[in-house]
Amino acid sequence: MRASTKRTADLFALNSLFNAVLILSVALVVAVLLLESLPMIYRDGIGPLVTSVWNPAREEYGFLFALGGTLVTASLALLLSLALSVGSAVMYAEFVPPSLRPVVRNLMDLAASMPSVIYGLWGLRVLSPFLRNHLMEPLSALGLSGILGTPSPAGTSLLSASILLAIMVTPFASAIIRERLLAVPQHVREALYSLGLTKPEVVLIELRYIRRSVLTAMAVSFSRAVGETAAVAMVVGNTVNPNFFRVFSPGYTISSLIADQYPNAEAYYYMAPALFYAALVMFAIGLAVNLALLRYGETR
Amino acid sequence: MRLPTSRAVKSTALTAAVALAFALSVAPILHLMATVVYRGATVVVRNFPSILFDIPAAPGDHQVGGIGPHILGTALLTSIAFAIGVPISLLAAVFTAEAIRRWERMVGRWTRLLVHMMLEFPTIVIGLAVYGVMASITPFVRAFVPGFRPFSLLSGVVALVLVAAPYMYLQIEDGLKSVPQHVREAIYSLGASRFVASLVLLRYLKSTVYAALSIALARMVSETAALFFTAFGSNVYPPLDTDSLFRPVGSLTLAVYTFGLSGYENWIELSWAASFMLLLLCLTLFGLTKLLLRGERRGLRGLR
Repeated sequence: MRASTKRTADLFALNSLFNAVLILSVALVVAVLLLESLPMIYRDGIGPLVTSVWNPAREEYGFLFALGGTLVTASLALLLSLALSVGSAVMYAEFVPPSLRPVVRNLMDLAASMPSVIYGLWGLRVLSPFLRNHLMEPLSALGLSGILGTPSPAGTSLLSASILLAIMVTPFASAIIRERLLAVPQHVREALYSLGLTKPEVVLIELRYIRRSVLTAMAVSFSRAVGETAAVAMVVGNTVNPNFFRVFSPGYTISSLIADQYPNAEAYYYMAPALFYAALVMFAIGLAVNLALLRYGETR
Repeated sequence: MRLPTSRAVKSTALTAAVALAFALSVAPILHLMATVVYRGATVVVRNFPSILFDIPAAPGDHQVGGIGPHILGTALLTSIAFAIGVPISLLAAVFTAEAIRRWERMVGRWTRLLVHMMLEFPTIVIGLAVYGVMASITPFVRAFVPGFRPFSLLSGVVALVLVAAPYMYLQIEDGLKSVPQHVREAIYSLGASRFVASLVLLRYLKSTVYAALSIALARMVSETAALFFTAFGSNVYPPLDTDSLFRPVGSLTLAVYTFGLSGYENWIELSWAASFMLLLLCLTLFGLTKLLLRGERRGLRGLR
């Protein structure tokens, strides 16, 4: 039984003020996004979503190139990190000796908690030049630049951003998959081995067994990749690129567009509303992914 | 047992692919850490201790100067945001976990739902929203506080609180929910009020609570995107007066970002130095968190 006299109950109820603070701040964030983007929505409707013109001098803001950049980089990162995270989770659960597991786990957890801006600096100064010299230049020389675009001198490009994002989200995704893989019931595993299957064959079936968790891990990766800002803004090149599918070229994502353009926003009438509109679109993508997760993701 | 050739080949190929994926996901991380430590430590050691106090040298100069204002900025932003964020999330979590009456449980459910939602907000969106609020209240507040500005330490603090509070709230609330029923009943059976009982419960969960605080601290220290339009960044020490709260302020993360993107060799060196310090800070907090959560399987929210 929980005893509560009237007086102490009232003291406890005061705590609800802090709940109210949290609830109101979330509501306020969403409300501000909506309110501040209204002038742009009212003026252009869905125009900014389907045009790629960024001309502040003429107050024209179509951010299709950034939306496309976001979707391209996040999808590429998702594909890469699917391979990397499933692979490294399987390695962890099936091949790494138990005595070494804490080392690997701590390294991955640390990687997941490191500031993204450090990844950005490394991506800008180490990864991008490396990718330019050893991947993009050779492929362009083969004549692919017509399809995939031309790399910039620094190597900053949509592809560099995608690969950096994949490196950044893999520790998260891999952590989710490895925990579920370790949680596959022992009797299921033993039943599979008793059929005479090899270890890789067993793992493939186990992965099918936890497919909803893999899906969850991928959705988490995708929404992180969509929202990631500092690291992406450092390696994506920050150039208006209407051909956002040419991944060797520099481009923009929504997050890097906001980060890069905001200092100028107060000089123009509609730029701030346009950027809030872009943020609203990014927010909507994240929300859609999370709702899809509720429907198709693992049950908690 | 001998396998048919096709199965043997397939198995070997799969094992090789798994090993390759593992190597490809670990190698970049190790390379990154090694690079940051090597390049950052070189700069820090060569300019010790002036790098901790000086302001950055002019771009293109042959000296690097220091990142004193950014270290101070991170210290100010983090400590103020921590002091504001901890009581809010702690008490809100206690209320949610110990709710009994119908309205209390409803408030708790809504808080949980919305905080979960906030956890998924990209932090740049949070920063942008804080800027939006600050900019729209500026004309009114200026009537009372003439120095008020949207790009300020105050905005940065608000943004950091919003970024880190969800982690603390959810972690502590999860902890409180997991307290065995007999412990809770024992506390109430001594005649404790709900307020006193929650204090006892928090002591019972000491290590979880401290771990939550350490995770939140790490989040605040490593946040960049939410500070772009709030703290804004600054390369000089702010003058100490009544308007200090309303001036732009730098941070280590903003230093890494702006100096890293600049084309000047000496600023890029500062960027490596700042990321080295950030890495050290995060390693310390990470080690602390792991130590506090030793032996606990659950409660790693925010570490991944």
